Amino acid sequence: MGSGEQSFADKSSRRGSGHLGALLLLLASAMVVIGVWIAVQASRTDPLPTLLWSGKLSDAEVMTASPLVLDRLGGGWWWIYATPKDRQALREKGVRLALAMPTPLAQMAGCSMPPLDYKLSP
Amino acid sequence: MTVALWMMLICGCLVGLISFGIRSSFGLFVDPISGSGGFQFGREAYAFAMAIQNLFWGIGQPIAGALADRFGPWKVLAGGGVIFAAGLALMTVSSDPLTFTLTGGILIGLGMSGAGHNTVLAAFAQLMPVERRPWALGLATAMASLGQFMVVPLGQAFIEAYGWGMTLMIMAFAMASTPALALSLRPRGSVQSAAAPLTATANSFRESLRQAFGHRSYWLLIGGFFVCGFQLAFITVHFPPYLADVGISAKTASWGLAMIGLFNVIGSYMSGPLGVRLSRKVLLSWIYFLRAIVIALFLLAPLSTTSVLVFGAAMGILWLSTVPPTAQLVGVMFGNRYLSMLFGFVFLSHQLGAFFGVWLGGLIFASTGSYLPIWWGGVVLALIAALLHMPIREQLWAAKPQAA
Repeated sequence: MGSGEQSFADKSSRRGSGHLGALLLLLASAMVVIGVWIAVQASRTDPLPTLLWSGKLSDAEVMTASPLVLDRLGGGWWWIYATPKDRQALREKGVRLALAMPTPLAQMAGCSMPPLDYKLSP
Repeated sequence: MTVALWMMLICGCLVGLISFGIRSSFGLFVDPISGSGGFQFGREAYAFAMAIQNLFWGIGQPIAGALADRFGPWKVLAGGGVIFAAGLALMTVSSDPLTFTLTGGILIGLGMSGAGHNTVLAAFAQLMPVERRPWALGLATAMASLGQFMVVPLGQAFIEAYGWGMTLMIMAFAMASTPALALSLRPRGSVQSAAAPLTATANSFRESLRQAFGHRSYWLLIGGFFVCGFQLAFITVHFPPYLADVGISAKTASWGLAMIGLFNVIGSYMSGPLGVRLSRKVLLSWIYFLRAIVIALFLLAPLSTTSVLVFGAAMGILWLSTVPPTAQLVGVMFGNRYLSMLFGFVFLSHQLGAFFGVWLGGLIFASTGSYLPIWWGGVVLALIAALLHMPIREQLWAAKPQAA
């Protein structure tokens, strides 16, 4: 390979690594912001859309234990509407993951939200 | 790139993300602060403080730029961050309109001038190696855009979870990290040696101002950036009510704005490297021309959810993509020595455009009952801006030879 081609390859490689670094920086920043967003939402006491992975629990057990099922995604994954207490109770029953999600993110992920006038029983 | 350069890049980008994100979140506090759960001084007093904030942000920009050129951008970033943080913290105890205007308006406006995205751009323009500079300017603008897009829903989540006062204090703590982040933007060691020497055609502030304001191309750039501010502010404020008037839901409007935010990140990033491959003035002309086409097509096409989302994506690509080539052009014309101050004046024109975009939008709607005249006015202004950039001389300013 001639020196001109070598130089072109070096430049392309540097440019590529710069774009990759920029992409990683943007993605990492976005992930941190989303992480903080989820953490803040999870600290609220009112009910929120919750991504649930049932683990060993059967579908019937999830249906019974959940305060409100929004969507059944399959493979043990569900969208439910739950308070922190509900999520804790589900974890104690063997649910592997119960993660409160910000409503816009849940909606973007395809979660069907409950009717506006819906209230969980106290 | 060296580790020091990457650190500088990451820290500078984080300052832009935090300050731009917080700055975009003030709309969330209107009702919590001015309403019954807050200080109860009403929306008008809150809006007045925000108007003053924007005014001081614009006026403070050339001053912050001059200070950055004199003492170094990192010191201005650090000082601006402290003022911004103090303004946020003091907002929580400013219970009457006057003190609220002093803290939420003047202090935060001045803080944004110092600790804003423009000072980060100035630091990168001075410290990054020449071949990396356009890319770094694009990345910094993209990160600021990301902050604008993502910090707003985060701010809303904080308000819902912890209340507006605690949210402002959390934001104040985030801004208080600016001086620590700014330390990595000090010109030292490998960072300093990596950058090209500062070029300038003027030897003093006064001479640089005389050169710039005596140069037709600088005025053309100022005129173009006025149009940018006009369109962005008009769309940000009046887009949701325009859609509501024609029967499009608020949810669709918010998705349209979200599309603008998302695609703005992509457009801002791309415009940096594009400014190297294309002539900057040609790139700017294309951006304004495409804005005119996008707005015209949006107005002529039948309104639907799809058209709103497509408009949001297209406008997002063109949103802040004007910033990197405009900053680069100022550097190309007058060198980097007084770039912060000279770009500060260009930015002041952007803010004046923003003021007129918001104000005339409301005024024309109030007098005609329709937003269409101002939308079409925006199309005409975009075409004018596209034409304005064509005669710009994209070269280092040179004094006319004295007659013998």
